[in-house]
Formats: sequence, C-alpha cells, structure tokens
Amino acid sequence: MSTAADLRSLVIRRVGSGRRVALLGADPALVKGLEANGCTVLVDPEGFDAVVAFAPQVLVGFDGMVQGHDGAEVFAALAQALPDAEVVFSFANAASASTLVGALTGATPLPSIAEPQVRRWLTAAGLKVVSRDVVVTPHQKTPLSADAEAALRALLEQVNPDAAADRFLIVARRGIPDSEPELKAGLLSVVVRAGADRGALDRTVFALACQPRRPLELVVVGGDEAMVNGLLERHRSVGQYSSRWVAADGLAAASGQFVALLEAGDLVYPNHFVKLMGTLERGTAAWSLARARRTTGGEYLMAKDEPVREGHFSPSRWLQAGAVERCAWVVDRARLGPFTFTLPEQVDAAEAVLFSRLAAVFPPAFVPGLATVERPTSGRPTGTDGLLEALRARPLRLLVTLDELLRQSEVATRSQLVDRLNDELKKRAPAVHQQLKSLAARLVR
Amino acid sequence: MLHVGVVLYEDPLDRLDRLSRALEVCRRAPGTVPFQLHVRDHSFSALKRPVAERLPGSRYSHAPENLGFAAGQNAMMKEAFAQGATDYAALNPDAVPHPDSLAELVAEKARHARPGLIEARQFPDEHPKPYEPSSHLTPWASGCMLLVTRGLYLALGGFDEHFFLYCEDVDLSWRARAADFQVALAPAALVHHYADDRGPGEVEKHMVLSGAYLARKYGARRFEQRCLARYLELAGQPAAVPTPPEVSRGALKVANFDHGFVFAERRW
Repeated sequence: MSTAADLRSLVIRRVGSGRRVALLGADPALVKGLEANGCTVLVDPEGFDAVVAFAPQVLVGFDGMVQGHDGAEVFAALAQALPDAEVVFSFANAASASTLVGALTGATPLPSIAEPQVRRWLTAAGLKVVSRDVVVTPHQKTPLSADAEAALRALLEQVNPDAAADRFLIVARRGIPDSEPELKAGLLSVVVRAGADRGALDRTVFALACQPRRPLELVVVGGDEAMVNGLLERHRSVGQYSSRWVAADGLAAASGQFVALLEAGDLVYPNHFVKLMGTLERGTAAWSLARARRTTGGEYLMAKDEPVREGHFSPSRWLQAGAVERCAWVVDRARLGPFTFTLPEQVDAAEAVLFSRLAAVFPPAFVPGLATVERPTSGRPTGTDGLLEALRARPLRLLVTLDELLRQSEVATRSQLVDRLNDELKKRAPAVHQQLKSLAARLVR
Repeated sequence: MLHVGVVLYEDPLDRLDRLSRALEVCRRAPGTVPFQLHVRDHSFSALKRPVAERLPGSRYSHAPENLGFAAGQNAMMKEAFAQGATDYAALNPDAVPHPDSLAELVAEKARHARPGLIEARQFPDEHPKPYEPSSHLTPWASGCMLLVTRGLYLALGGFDEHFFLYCEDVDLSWRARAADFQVALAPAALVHHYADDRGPGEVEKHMVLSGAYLARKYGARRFEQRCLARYLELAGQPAAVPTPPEVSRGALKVANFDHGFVFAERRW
C-alpha cells in the first residue's frame, strides 16, 4: 500500500538528479528529498512570472495546480512560456474505486480529475505523456462491511482496472502523442495462436477462409513467420481476408471492432461467426458465445463431445464443467468501454479468468443450438484444471449470485407446477389424492 | 489425367466464384495433379456464360431439366473415361477442396491394390462413420468429393440413376465392396462441406425418398417403411419409389441399415 511518502519518492525518482525544479506547492519533505538528489528547487513561487524567471527544467505540480482554473489554459500557458520544461503532475483519480465508493456511501468527495481529461489538456498544449505511474493509497473507512466494499471495489476494477489507482503521476514533455489506432467498424479480427504444428494451423486457416463472414482479418501470433505467411497466402484467394503475422500480443495488433480468439487446430463451422455476430448486431450484448465441441483422437478422431449439454447458459456451470473455450466467443470491443480485454498467454487458467471477468460485468448473449466450433483436446488441460486459481484470483460473487437467482426461479416455476397439479388432483380425484398423500408421508418417514 | 466433374443446379454466382478460386489454388499447389474440369448444368436457365467466365477451360454441358446428381455425374464420367481419364473425381459445387486434396486422393489410390472409390475427408465437421486407421478402408464413401477409378467404372458403371439426390454414393460403395474393390477415405484430402445447418424441408424429403429406394433395393423393409412414413409426413403424399434392379448376394451382405442414415457404426 502506497503512502504520501511513496508518492514523494516517486516524484523524486521521476524528476531525476541535478535539475532545476519549480515546485508548485509547499512540501518541505519533498523539497528536502529533491535537494538531497542534487536539485535546485524553487518552492511555491509567487505568480507565473517568478516561475518563468527561474527557467526550470522541471515543473512539479499537484491537484491544486488546476483547481479553480481551466486546466487546458494552465498547461497551454506553461508549455508556451517554458517549452523545454518537463511537467511532472500528480492528481487524484476521479474514476478510482475509492472515489466512487466514497461517493456512493455519502462521503464528502475530495477533489479529483479524470485521466482522459488531463490527457486532453496536455495534448492541446502540445505535450506528450512519457511516463505514467499508478499510486495506491490506504483506503478510508466506509460505512460498508469490509466484504461488501471489497466486492464493490473488485467489480469496479473489473470494469476498469485503473479504478485501483487512487492517484496518477504523469510526466509530460513537448511532443505529439501517438494516436491510438481506431477500431475498424464491422471488421472481424480472428487472432490465432500458432504453434509448431503446420498442419493444425493450415486446418484452422482453411476453415476460416471457407466461412462466409466478411470483412475478415486474420492475425496469427507466433510460429515461424515464413511458414505462417505462406499458409495465409495459400488460402487468401478463397478467404478474401487481410492478414498479418506478429510475434506476440495479437489482440493489440488486431484492428477489428469484433475479435475472436483461436488456437491452431480449432475449427470453426461456416455458421459460427454468422450466428455469433448476428446475435451481437441485433442485440446489445458486448460478447456472444456458442457451444464448442471437443475432439479427441488426433488425426483419427475417436470422439466429439460437449462438456455441457443444457439448453441454457449458466456461467458457473460452464466453469465447473471446464466448458469455457475462448474459440466459442466473439467480443465487440466497441461495447467494452474501458474494460481491459487481454488474455495473458502461458498463464494458468487465463481463459477462465478472462471469462469470469467478462461474464461478471457483461452478460453474454448465448447462441443456443448445435455447437459451431470444435477444438482438439490432446495435450491441453481439460475439466476444472486451474479453475480454483481462477476463482481465487477474481471475485465471482456477482456472477454466482445471478446464476443462483436464475436457478431458483426455475425451481420456483417447477414448484408452482407441482402445486397446481396437487390442487387439480385434490379437486378432481380426492381419493387418489389422499392415497398419494399417505404414500408420500410414509416415504418421507 | 484426372478429370473432375461438378453438377450445377441453380447455384448462386458467389458459390461459383468460390469454387473457381478454390480449383485455381488446387491447380497451383505444389505437388498437385493436373486435371480436366467438367461442368454439367441442370439449371433451367443455362449458366454457360458465368461458367465460361469463372471456370475457363472447363467442358460445359447443359441438360434442360434437373436429372439429379447421379445422372449428371454419370454423364460426365462417361465422357471423361471415353476421353482416356485415368480417374474421375465427383465434386459438389458447394464444397471447397483443400489445395492438396486432389493430389492426396490420387496418393491414397496408390496405397491400394484394387482401388475403387476414394473419398475426401469432410471438413470441418468430419462425418462420424468410421474408417480403419491404418488401411483407411471405410464402409462407404461420400460423393461430396469422390474419386472413382477407371477400373471400377469399367466394372460397375457409375451411380444408379434412380437416385435423384443422396444415398447413390452408399449404393455404389456397397456394390464396389461386393465386387472386391477397395473403398477408402483419404485422411489428408480435406474438402470443406457443411450440411448440418440445412433445415428440414426439401433436403430431408430427398434424403428419405432416396433412403426408401436404397432400402427397397437391398430388401431392408423396416428402414423402407420408416422412410416412407417420414416422406408422407413431409410431403403430404405417398412417395413414388422406382423398382430397383437386382443386387448381388455380396452387396446384400455388406449393406448395413442398423445405424440410420449414417449406414455404419458412428464414431461419436
């Protein structure tokens, strides 16, 4: 847990040694630390002219720097007057779980700023963020029980991991920010993780080439670059897709609004994406999922099976049955907001954790019916391997509660049906009803 | 030379486009086998021009009425073998052959002493009927992408033209096995073809009508009755089932009606 002392240390580290520093505020401990690092510090200068006259190399400011002012004007003026100075700015995060929980529980809100707002001010002033640190401070007590508060915080962090940050420390200097690539509307990017098995990747790409959903982008991660590009080229005229090979981080390279995650060897049936994306396009869900089949036997298939056969979708049941398969999802990234959609590879239960994080915040649209994708199981963990880790890593309380409620409503419906049957039997055939009642009583005893 | 035959019936042009691109990739694939393409068009309005544009070099013929898959394939097979074809491969127009598939069919044929029928492996949802993992022998071979050897054609002719659609491949396979030809699957010859999303309707009507005829041909009375009953449900009128030719005792022995329309024990 960070403290004010940690924040000071961070500022001192980011400022560096032997520099001329204008500190816009008074903090003796920070001044001492900066001076100990060989810096010359102008402390809490009176007016803007004093700052300019000092000709600092670094400006250090906190929330108060923009309070009561137009932040855009403040940064623009600084950048114009001191074009070569670096800006080190720390501020309380308006989207932190602490701020939001405090507001929800009636605490007096402290001044805070949204990070995107700060970035807009900096960009408008011609400043580029060169580093960004997250600061976590001890939590204030709230009227909520510790469990409830933890669940609420966890939920907020699932929507946006930056909710864990109580403060940010940003360093900016003159420059043009890198523009974030925009997602291409309507494009489906399929990210395929390749291994050394050329045949498995060939089958996956061939199946993708033959399914009809367009526009389509294939991003193949890993494997031998020349081999992968050769395969992509081979099926391109049938598949009419764009494609690229990347060594790692395929999701970051994917440019589509919609993304799907496959591994070499996974086979999509022709209607897979048509159904999943049709469901997304007609509805409001952020992701959709279908049934997946597991195949066993390698080259000579011995079996195809589905771990879950119920006609409805139950997140906890699927997790318990180990039925979570990333190949069965399509995610609309335009509907995820700040949710961080990443899948760390080579991490135990990463798939189940991502599933849990997604399902806890975004109810998926389930496409009922026959399975539309299949995945070979050889060499892969099955069942509930790693699931406990996933459950420990992420709070599923909300998820499980919803699931329970759903199940209870089904039980309630069945109970109502039994009650109605009982009433009818009692009315129409009282003797039979009495006999059954006696029999039931004996059985219960 | 290998000859490949496709029967068209009112196929959409984008399907022809895809087939054209897939066959072009097959032609260019390393280690491929050269082939002559035949197209038999059963559409009411001839697709001659779109075929010429998309499948240049193919031999096109048009029949003014839909005579069915078996008759269409037989017409092309007859022409192909008359022109000296070594083998003939029937191919569905809605299927996409993998770039290596034709070469793999021919390679599989070379593994057998008396090859008759070699089928491609259906992809991505493989057919559940079994094949022997080392010899690749299978109880019957699907007509979706099916290599017919010259030897088999000369001995048995092609398909029984009483079948309009479906089951003609099962019948030819059983007759082939009875005549000691090998019927095998080429595991490395993939053909993309998916039929599970076809709803009930015309497809099922054709299927049960062919099933009834196949059952009558091989004396499977219960199977025939089930098919006829289902046809009545679907069509609202009784099926007109042709009188089949007699089949050999050997063929009667290999016929298997115990597993519904899979015609073999399922792997899953």
